[in-house]
Amino acid sequence: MSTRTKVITGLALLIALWAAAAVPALGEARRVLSARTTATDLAGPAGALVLALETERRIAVAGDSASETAAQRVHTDHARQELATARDAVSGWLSGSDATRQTGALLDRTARLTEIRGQVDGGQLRGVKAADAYTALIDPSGLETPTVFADQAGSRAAALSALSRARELLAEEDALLAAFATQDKITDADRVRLQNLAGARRELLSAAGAELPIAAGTALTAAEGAAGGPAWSTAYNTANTALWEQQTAGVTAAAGAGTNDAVLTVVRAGVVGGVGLIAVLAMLLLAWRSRTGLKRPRRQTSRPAAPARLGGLDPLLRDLERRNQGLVHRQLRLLDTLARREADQDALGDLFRADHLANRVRRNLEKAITLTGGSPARRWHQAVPLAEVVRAAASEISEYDRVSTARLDPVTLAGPAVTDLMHLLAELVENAATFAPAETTVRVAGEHVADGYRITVTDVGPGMTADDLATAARVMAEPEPPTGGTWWGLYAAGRFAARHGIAVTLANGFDGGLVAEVLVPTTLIGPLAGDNETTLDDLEPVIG
Amino acid sequence: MGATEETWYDEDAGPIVRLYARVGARAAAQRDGLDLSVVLHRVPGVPEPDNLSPDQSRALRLIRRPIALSEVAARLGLPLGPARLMLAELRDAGLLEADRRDASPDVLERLLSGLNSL
Repeated sequence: MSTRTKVITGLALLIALWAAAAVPALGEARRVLSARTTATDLAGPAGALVLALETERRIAVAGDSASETAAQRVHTDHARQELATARDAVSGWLSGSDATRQTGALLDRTARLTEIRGQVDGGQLRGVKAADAYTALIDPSGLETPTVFADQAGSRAAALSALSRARELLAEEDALLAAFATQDKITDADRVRLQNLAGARRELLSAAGAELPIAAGTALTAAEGAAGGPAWSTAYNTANTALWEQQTAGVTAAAGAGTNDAVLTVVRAGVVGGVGLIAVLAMLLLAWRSRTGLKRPRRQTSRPAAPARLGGLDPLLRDLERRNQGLVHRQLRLLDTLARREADQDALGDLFRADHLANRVRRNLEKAITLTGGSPARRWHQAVPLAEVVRAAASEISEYDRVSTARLDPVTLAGPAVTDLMHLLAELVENAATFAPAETTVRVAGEHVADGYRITVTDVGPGMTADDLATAARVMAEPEPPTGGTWWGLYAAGRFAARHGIAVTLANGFDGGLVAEVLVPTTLIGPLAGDNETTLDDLEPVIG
Repeated sequence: MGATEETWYDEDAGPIVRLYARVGARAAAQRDGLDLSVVLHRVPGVPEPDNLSPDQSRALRLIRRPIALSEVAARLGLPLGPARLMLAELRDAGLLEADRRDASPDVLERLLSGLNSL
């Protein structure tokens, strides 16, 4: 092979390598930017259509006046037309983006509106069935909201979807309550359905890291307890508006942050393209000037730059986690000191609330550390009474006073398993408290069994369907987290358990409610030496 | 970056069960007039609810006989403030009653002799 052929071959190879890296990078940058624009254009009309469908559902279910029904239908049709127009304006090559796919699916589903309206008018669809028919138009799978798109919301997409789903569930609850109001009586199955909706809503809200304003939340819980009633519509409207505003604000903020990512992608594409191009040009120049003297193409140094990676952030995040642990630890210590010497009862109540919040922050922090493969900085060498671990677990959830830990056979737990079992139980107790009706008690019991020590967490909630039980078992067994904002609590429980060979199973109890069973291996359990405090209790009081 | 990892073991890891959880205080109830010198009685016939914290249960067991608030706190190993909050909540729940006793010389004398006999 002549030197000239070698040079040409080398150059051709270089150009091919550069193109291989640059073309996808540029394409990706173009796609990301356009997809974001599309998502922003579609989010407004999609949201408007969903809200219109919810209102129409409410009217159809409650059997409101014909004029109201007609007016709302015109409104819904208008919203649908707006979305269709926006959707058609999207260029063809973006038809695969999340926003176009999700809104396209919503438009396809709502093509059935005429049919459903006919059945509502004809009386074939009434009450709960009518509500369900409309719900199926909004989100048939119960998994994907049609109003939040990954392209727009970026890394916040999962949380914002969960928030949006929570709001949709609230609206569904409103429609069901309206439906029940037209029935002669509310059956147990109806109640279970309402409880499930409310529980799922609370779980999604917590997965979204969102909270209702306190007054709105309290009013809603109270109205929920009364299964509707006059207070419901006010509470519902306040809560619904609050959630909608949170979602809109969240999407706007996420889109702003996401624009930075998009810009980064473009810059990266530019670097890949630019550096590669300069390298190729330099190579050509070099080849031109030393055509004959060139022995071999300098492939090593002129190779196009590989796309940059963000791997360097990891140690930084770890460092922040470590610092946060130190800060929360000191904060809790300070709160403890303050509470011990506070005499004013109101101030003490406030200190306890601050302590509770800080303790929940610590739980999230330690959970994040554990789920990313680390170990929290607070550790135990010595065995610890298991009852204390259980009570600590209960105290890590928001409604800790709903947990009864009275029935535990006295044993100790090996020190290294303390934080993990604590957080594992906190997940299960929280799950139980979330899905069971407010004001009911979650019971934690523990006893020796043949192959270890069995802890059970029992609630009086609606229990789980066979499908959900299967999903739960799968989620707890898998090392990868599920997507979409649901099941994260049980996923975390599975991870905590796996670190110590603890087995967790969920089942429905004999008399309703869910029973979570935690089997702790014998190796982690020890005997609890009798404490002398009980004998002190039996002393005669000093003052009689 | 690269800071040495800070860890806390056992005692240093802090109390496993936080004070607020021991005391079980959550509701912003009216907590008046339960001062340190009161003597507590169990209200007969009111059963113990099943979601009490172990400290609350132990307090109720102690109060089977009339007993001073400060003594309950001491026996539970709770600081006075938190103990008072916990007992006020039990009182609000109708589980116990408080007798305000004036610290008469008689009581003080019995207290002194009681303390001496410990």
